[in-house]
Amino acid sequence: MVDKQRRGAIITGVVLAGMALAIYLTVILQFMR
Amino acid sequence: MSQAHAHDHGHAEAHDHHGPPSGFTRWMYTTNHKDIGTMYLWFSFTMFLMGGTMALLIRAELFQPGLQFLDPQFFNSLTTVHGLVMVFGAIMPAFVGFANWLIPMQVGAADMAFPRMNNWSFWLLIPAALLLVGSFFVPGGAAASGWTLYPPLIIQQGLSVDMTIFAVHILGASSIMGSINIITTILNMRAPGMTLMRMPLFVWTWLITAYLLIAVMPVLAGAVTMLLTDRHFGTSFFNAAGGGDPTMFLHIFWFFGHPEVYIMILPAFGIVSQIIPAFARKPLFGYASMVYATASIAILSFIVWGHHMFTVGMPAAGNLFFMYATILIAVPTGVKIFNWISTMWRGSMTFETPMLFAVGFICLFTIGGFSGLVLALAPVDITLHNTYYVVAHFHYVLVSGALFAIMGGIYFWLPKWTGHMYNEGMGKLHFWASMVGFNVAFFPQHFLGLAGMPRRIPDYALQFHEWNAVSTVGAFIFGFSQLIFLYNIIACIRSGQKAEQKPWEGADSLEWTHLPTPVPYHTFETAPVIK
Repeated sequence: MVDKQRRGAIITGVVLAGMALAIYLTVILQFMR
Repeated sequence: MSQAHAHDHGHAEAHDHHGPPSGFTRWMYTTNHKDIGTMYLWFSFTMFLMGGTMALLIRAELFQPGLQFLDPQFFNSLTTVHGLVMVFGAIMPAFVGFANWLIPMQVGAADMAFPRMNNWSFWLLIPAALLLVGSFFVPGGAAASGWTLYPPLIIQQGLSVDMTIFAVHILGASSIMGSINIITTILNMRAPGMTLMRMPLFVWTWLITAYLLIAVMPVLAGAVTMLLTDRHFGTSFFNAAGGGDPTMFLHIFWFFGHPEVYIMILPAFGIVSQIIPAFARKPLFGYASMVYATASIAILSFIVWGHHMFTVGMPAAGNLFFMYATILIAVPTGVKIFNWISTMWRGSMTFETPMLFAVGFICLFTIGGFSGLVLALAPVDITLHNTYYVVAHFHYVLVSGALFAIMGGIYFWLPKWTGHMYNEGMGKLHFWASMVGFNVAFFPQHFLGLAGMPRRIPDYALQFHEWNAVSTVGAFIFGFSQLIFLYNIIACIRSGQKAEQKPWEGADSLEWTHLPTPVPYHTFETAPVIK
């Protein structure tokens, strides 16, 4: 149960951090030409 | 095997019963959500007093027309840093403090999902605050562009702007880490039976707020990174001479900035939604509609940024789109206001300090909402843009909205956190002094704005004198009444009367029903089962 919860937490955390990084890079790269 | 088991058990028991370590290391290395919540709240209060001091300097200068005692450049620095400190240093960390204290207890979790990252999220705030406030002491003074950091002005100033940009980056990283922690805790660590639609509304509002933060803080970080490269690395994102466009910064900034407004108000909605049912002794009216209204407000916040820039020369169709989208937000917000009023309707109400702040919130936030509707009308905004009407509007939303909810929440949960009751008489005095001081300070600013007084100026024409003098008197009443708040909190912690497990009759979330007062250092190591 705890391991499952921990795995879920890590996956959620990594996905959210990835979202934040993707948005940051998109904003900058979008306006580079 | 059995030995190992016995050893583990003994260790676990020792762990269960130890209290917090003592001294500085307790706070430096803590991974306990309650300790981190406490640090966030004290940090926020410290920044609130700093930002408040800046506000009083601004109001003192504006007491009379003519330059009294502040250099105009310094005045502009004060308005800029006051805004940044209050938004990023006072309001946001206060809500993260509440989130840290309450979310694990309200969903039945032992702690936040990533306790070490939680510690780091907090301690990042300290260097950021030092950079922000320290920028006053470098040559040229602190950033003086207003908290919106618009180019081209921001490109021209000195070292302080780099310090501010760095501070904003760090604060953004801290907020994103905090949000990841909050979302993960809510989605993965709820107690058995605590379904999403059974969560207290405070948890719901923070879940939605945390998604907003993850979506828009990187946008702000991107905008200030581009400012930095424009300043130092020869890029021309916002420099017209190099093929860039300063207006583009406005679009990017306000794509962050408007959701940011909701980041500062949605958790306030959550706190008020906890306080009102507790003192009306009735369940919250329309729980599900409250959740959907919160989500609707959050989604709409992404398509209204243009209302901050009606005067910049967007096509009429663009202005109309942003005007109608903005007006649409009044619908879910109205749902929330009516639900709070319906909760109070025929309730057995009493008016202890938290309830006074919650009712004050509803009355004054609604005024702020209505002045927001006035400003949402593109043709009206063209005359009101950059006037004191805007200043009055957002202070009604952020002071009597966000801040009053924070204060109400502090009084509401202080007995649970400290194990002591605050002084009710002093709490009421604090409320009424704040209420009177706030309205005397900010209501006249509507008149000043309608009469055409521009914001961010240290001097003004003679006809604006009377209401400015009144506003300054109100600001000082409001400012100094916060000392009552500080005294009351310290007195409560040190020598307040012992509080019962559930001092508020109608409170029904897990921290009141399942945990003793004061809450032990470790809670819910075995998850409660919610029926």
